[in-house]
Amino acid sequence: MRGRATQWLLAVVACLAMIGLHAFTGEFPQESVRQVQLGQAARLYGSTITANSWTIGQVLYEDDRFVGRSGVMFLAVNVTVATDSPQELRSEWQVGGTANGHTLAARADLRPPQPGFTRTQDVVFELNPDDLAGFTLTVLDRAPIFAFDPQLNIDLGITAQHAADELERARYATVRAASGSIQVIR
Amino acid sequence: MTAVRTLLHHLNQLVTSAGLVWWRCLPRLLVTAMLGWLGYRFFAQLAGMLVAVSAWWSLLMLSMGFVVRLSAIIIGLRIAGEELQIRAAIPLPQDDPRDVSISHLLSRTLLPFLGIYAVFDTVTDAANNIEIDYYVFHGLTFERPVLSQLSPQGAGVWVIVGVIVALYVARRLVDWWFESSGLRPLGLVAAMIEGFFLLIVILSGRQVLVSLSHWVDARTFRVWLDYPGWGLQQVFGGLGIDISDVLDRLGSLWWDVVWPGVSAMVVEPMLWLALASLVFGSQVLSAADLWRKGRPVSVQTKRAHLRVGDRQRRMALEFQEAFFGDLNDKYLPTFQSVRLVLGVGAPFFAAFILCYGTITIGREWLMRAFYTGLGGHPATFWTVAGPPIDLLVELITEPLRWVLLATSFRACIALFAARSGQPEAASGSMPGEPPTVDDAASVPVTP
Repeated sequence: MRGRATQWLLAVVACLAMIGLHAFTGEFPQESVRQVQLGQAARLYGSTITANSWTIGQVLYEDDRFVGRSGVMFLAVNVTVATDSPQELRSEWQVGGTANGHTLAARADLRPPQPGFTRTQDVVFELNPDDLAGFTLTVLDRAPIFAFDPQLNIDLGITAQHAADELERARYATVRAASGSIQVIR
Repeated sequence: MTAVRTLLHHLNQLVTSAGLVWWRCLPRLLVTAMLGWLGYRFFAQLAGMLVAVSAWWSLLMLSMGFVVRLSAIIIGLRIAGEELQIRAAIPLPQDDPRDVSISHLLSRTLLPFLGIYAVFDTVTDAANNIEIDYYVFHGLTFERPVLSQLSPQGAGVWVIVGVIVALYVARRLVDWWFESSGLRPLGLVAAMIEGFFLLIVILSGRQVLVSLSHWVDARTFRVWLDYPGWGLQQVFGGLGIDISDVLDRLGSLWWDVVWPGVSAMVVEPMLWLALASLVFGSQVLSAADLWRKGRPVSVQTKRAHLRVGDRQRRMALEFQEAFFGDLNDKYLPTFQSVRLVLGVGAPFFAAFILCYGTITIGREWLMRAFYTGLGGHPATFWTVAGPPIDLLVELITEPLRWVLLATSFRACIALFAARSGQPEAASGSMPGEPPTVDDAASVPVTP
């Protein structure tokens, strides 16, 4: 009787192991993720995207217009997007951020400019100061029909020490964000 | 430790035997897998093109594709079965009257096959792929219904019911003609009609269930169902526990992680092994057999205890054959097959689950490796690149799966023979490491 119970226990363990493996496999990303660094240009279909710099603060001005004061803090990431594809893109970018296992949504959309143009703008997040270290900007080009879409994970290179220093220096500063300036690619 | 040793023994037996059979039958298995895949893709592509003309034609093509795919599976299983001499290992009488032709096996296995595909959403995925292909080639539009023409709301309930009844009658007529004339092509026609019939039932039935759910949600009494939940919230709220959050997390864990894993890693392998045992022809009794013998072997039904005269019995048998033919041909054998594979014991069950799961996961990882290697691309790219990748993965994993199913079924037979103390009909015929009576009996068994 005990032997039979042991056998069934082993069978249950085998089943649980396979269920665990299945769950692990299900966690694989549904996107083609590419890691890039701050200042490094990367392609997203017909566009090139570069994260130039980032700033933090508690008060947000957008295009010299007062937006608000955060109970936590703002992070503005300055990005440049250039569309050198000859045809207009019909994709929809989903911009967000991840830090400490949290997923954060940007305050406004980031859209690729028209073909032949470049746009520089700030992508603003409202986040907890604890989430600043290790912050990664994510840009997913989600096609209208779901496919294995490309996603860029842009590591801003914010180490724990770097975050502590910046919080000490600019925790209550004013962030001046730009909603976008368009230029022709020459 | 004995249990672990038994499990390792079964694992070793399955892996080495399946590997050997796979190697010996590889060319034939590869050709079968490729032809099955090409046939399915041909009809699926045709379905994608015809959907612009009529959803019914599209569904007919899809059902033909599924019949081709099932034919490939049956042929693949039989190739592996021949190498393992499974038919000879099953203790059957010399004058066993069962028909082992492909068309007969098709008609017998089509229902469980499509049933497995329906349960694991393969049918729905195939229908979705038709829609996606349509949108990719014709542009995303909501002006023209694609497969929603098949839903009761799209075509009308009575049209769907009429088509289902007409197909059922047509199938019965073709079955009757096939049985009286013995013309093999008629068996295939019957299988295709049945495939079409089942696909309509599955897709329309799904819509009916959704409609029913919406209807219930729109009724006033639906609120009553929320009362117990609110009561629980009040009770646990007093204790400072957010019970709805706890239940949500538990529900999410079950439906998103545990249940998909259980269905893919435990239920699906068992159902496929049951289907394989149908193909190899395990000794199953039909409902009519039970009636004739006057005693049910597997299920105690009220009908089995009825006492009737010869004339009444004959009439009842004819009635039963006419209206419960499906029960005889499909449901009962499937039920018996599931019993067969569940009854061989825990260590073998565990070994089979581990082997089958490895192939399933391996397939997924292989697919992922190809996708990751090629990088992110729009849907139009995957519409072109997807099929060759799918073919490559299919050629690698599908023959392995067939061979594993055949080997596992052969091992089941050996274990049953050893347990009942009866010699196998053909012992020692398994290539490599034959699971003969002696071998099966030598498996260390815990007291």
